[in-house]
Amino acid sequence: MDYSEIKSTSLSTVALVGNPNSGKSSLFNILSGLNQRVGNFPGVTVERKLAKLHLGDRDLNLIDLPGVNSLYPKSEDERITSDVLSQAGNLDHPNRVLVLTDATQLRRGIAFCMQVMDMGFPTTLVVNMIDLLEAENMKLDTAKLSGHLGIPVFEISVLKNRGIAELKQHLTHDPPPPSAPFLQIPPAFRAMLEEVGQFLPQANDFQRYRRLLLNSSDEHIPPMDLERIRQLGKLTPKVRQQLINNELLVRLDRADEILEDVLMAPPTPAKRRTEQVDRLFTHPVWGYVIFVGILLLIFQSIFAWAEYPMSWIEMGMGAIKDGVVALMPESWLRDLLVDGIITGIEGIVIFVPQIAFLFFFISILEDSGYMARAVYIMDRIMRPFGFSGRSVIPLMGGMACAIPSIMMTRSISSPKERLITILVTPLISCSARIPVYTLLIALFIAPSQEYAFFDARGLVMTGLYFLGFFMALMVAWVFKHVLKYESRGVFVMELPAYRMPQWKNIGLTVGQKSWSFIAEAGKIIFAVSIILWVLVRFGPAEEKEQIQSTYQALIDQAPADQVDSLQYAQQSALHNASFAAVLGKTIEPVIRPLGYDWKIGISLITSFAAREVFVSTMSIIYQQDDPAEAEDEDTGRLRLVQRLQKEKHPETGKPIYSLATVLSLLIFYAFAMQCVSTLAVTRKEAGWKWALIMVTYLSALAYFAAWGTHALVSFWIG
Amino acid sequence: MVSVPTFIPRVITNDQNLKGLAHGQKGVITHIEGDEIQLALLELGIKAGDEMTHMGTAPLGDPISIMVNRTQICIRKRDAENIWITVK
Repeated sequence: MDYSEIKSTSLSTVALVGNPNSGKSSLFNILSGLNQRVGNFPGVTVERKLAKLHLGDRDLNLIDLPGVNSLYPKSEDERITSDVLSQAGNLDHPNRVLVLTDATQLRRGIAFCMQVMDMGFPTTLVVNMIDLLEAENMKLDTAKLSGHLGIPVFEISVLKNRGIAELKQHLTHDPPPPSAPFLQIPPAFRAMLEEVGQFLPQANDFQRYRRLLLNSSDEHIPPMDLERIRQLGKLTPKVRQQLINNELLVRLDRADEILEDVLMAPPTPAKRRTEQVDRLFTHPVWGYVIFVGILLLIFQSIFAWAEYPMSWIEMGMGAIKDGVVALMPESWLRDLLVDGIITGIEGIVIFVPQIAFLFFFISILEDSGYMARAVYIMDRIMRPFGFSGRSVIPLMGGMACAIPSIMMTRSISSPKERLITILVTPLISCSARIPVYTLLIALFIAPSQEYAFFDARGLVMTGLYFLGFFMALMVAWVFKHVLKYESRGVFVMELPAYRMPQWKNIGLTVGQKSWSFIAEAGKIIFAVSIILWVLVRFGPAEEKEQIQSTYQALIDQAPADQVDSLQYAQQSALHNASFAAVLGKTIEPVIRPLGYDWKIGISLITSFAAREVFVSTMSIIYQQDDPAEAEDEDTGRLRLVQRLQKEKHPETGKPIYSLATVLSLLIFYAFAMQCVSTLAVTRKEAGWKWALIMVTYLSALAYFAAWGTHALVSFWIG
Repeated sequence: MVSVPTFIPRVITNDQNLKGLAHGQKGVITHIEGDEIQLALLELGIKAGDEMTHMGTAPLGDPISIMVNRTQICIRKRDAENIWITVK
């Protein structure tokens, strides 16, 4: 759905802003329930969450803005929040703002709230996690705080579902705008602000002052005006920075004065549980053991546990196919429906369990506060390769999908570090590689092999993940030197207190991510499946007719018991004469050194759009029913594995899927780009140049690594 | 020109930088050198005059973790060199 349809301009818009880790997305979820739309902010890939709320007899829009600590942005996603609040012409510009803060971090929450108020918005302060404050025997006088700030203040706990009803009730009437600004702008600026006003007539004094200190561009102000504003103050970057620091300092001091009056703390603070938990999670040995253990658990879930829902989906889709076959007369339309469309949909839906598991774990790690500890213990390891610990999150997210991970890099403030992270993220094995790995690994490891608790296939898979991660570090190291990147940026990160994740919140996230996968990646997979069906089913007409007539003659003369197998051979021959085969045979000379035949060649071509298409291509290529297998009750994937294992080279008679070839394919898919969506998102985030560099280096790396693997393994085992 | 109150680097003899502190030591932040690190800390609600506790060091010796007020942060040693503490 288009964004403009959802947001009707007649409705009042409430923006939800707040410090990172203040529980903003949980509050958004509890206020909006399932009634939300997720999209992107125009021109960028930062997630935009919008909901239409029906409260009493009133409808309003609620928009969730990226978490920030001030309105002086340092990274791309912080800029979104700052832009939406400052640009009166912005599509998302709110009529009023809810500032959310963590009750245990009131000082910075109040300071930020004052900044939002100085922008002139009717503001409500929402103090979340009030239960944590009470657990430490502290008491907040909300009424007094409200008096000091001159705005409504609510204390809530999203986790304990406290104060939500009152907050909803409050949203039904609009509060008045704040009366006077908190920040006393130095009188020396008076004349200058008047002049800025020529360019920003609607803006109040603080907005003008802020514009003066900001370095960033603004698409709502003509560049010429912006340049004139910049020249007005003749403020050097250093002076601007110091003025910003002074402003924040003044606000913190004011927040302290207020807190002195409104917050009652016991003389000796209670010992935080977080410290005890930290002792384990950041332990020199156990810290890393737990980190690797968590990764293993995630892979185990994707590999072993997701198997059950996946087989249900297969069974369901199989039943639908059988139904269609039984109901419709044989025709090309039925073929298209069964082998093209339904197979295509199956190829999309089948991933949902794995993606859901992945996002389930990633959201738990984020919500619980563990992710920050992973950054903390990994920072030193990542640094020589041009990363900070911050890149660990996008890289770990890359295990789910490179696309959201590349978007996540917007929180990295150094442009070069961000670029390096984007360039290597596709090397991290994503969930779309899982079906490819699954199929290929099954070709050489029987399902029953286990070592200790772990499935042998899961171990190989883990190995492939580590290989991808290792390669990502190596390539990052190379780019670090090519780009001459020397990290000079400041690295300061909050380690939030550990919290119990909220299952409802996680459920919503998992649902959203799975759905957006179906909607986004699904489109490509679906389109490719149909194109592929056409390529496989049709071929150069002459050749087809010739095969048809040759076999027809043979079948007519053959004894009755040979008709079945002759018909099968005919279908195989027809297959070899399809457009897909022509295409595959054209590239065969290039891929022969890797140990691939033209059938694999077709899969390589089709899976360029999306690597997971490899599996569906293989099943379409090998779809014709061998009468010898007709009695087989196994699921489709197992049948495919058996069929591939039987596949022999037409000249040498050796199996096509030898160990060397399968390993070579695994390596190829571990490194190759094979994802149009990643290419698209990289172009959006870093430009065409880097998108092309990315696809080139990844293809070259995949080709030569696969070639080397095939050569080495063939040499080894003869 | 607008005059801006500047922070003149001053190192009181008793002060030592954060990098040199040991686990569990407490102190008061007296001075933060460098605008960028200052901003990063201010945004997290941390400023000179705050009490801090050294919470520990990451397993590989860097970054270090400190608790200021009720906010726990981690910071690289390179940046910690610019934070001056009067040890209690």
